[in-house]
Amino acid sequence: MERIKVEGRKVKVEVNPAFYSHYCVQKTKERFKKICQVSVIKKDDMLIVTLKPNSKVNLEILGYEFYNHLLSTAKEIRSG
Amino acid sequence: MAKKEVLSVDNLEVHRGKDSVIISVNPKIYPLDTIFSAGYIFIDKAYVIVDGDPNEEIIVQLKAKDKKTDLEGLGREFNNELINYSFYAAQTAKNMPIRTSIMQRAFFTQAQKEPEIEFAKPVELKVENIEEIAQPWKSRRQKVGKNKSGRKKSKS
Repeated sequence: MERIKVEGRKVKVEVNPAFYSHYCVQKTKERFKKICQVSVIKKDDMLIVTLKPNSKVNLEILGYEFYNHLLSTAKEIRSG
Repeated sequence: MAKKEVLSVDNLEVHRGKDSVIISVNPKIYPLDTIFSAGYIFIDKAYVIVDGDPNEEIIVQLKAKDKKTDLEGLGREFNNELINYSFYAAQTAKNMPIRTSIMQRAFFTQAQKEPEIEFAKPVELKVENIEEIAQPWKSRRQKVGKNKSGRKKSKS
């Protein structure tokens, strides 16, 4: 289960839309806009989020942090 | 002897090389809300990834932030949190009718009209000699011939 892939100066995060809705991803994307360039595309029933940070950071950790924020947003949306 | 990289115990799969533990959860036992709530508890200690099939098997990956973390313990703690939240959800569902009736009662009481309060009518003062009131106390005393205590001055 490799959902985080570091490619050069970018990190690609694969998100399962069955757990994290498109709206949830977009809301989390807004949070990350301040620190990096974010793009979301749909590929083979998965959402691919590409993060390119503005400053030098650990890319793998950035990807994992994105997942933690996704969880936080998903819980926020579900609890209303 | 080198430690095994992957260790499978019950529903846990411990990957020591990746500092992560993979927990498989049956969605028929624990709904997605419960899994998210349990995962949210671990945000401080680990990175949480929820994946898998929401109808068949949900995979939760916990990657420890601290390398010294006991991974098996982390996974078992997650299992405990799952039970904790499912119990909480069951109790909430059980108490729902009581809570609803309490809320209805509270709103009903609030909606009732408040009784009108009757205020007493202002008393009209009847003053017979208004000129006497307008005079200062000192001059009035001298006129009547009273001392400070209010008694009439004796002739002696």
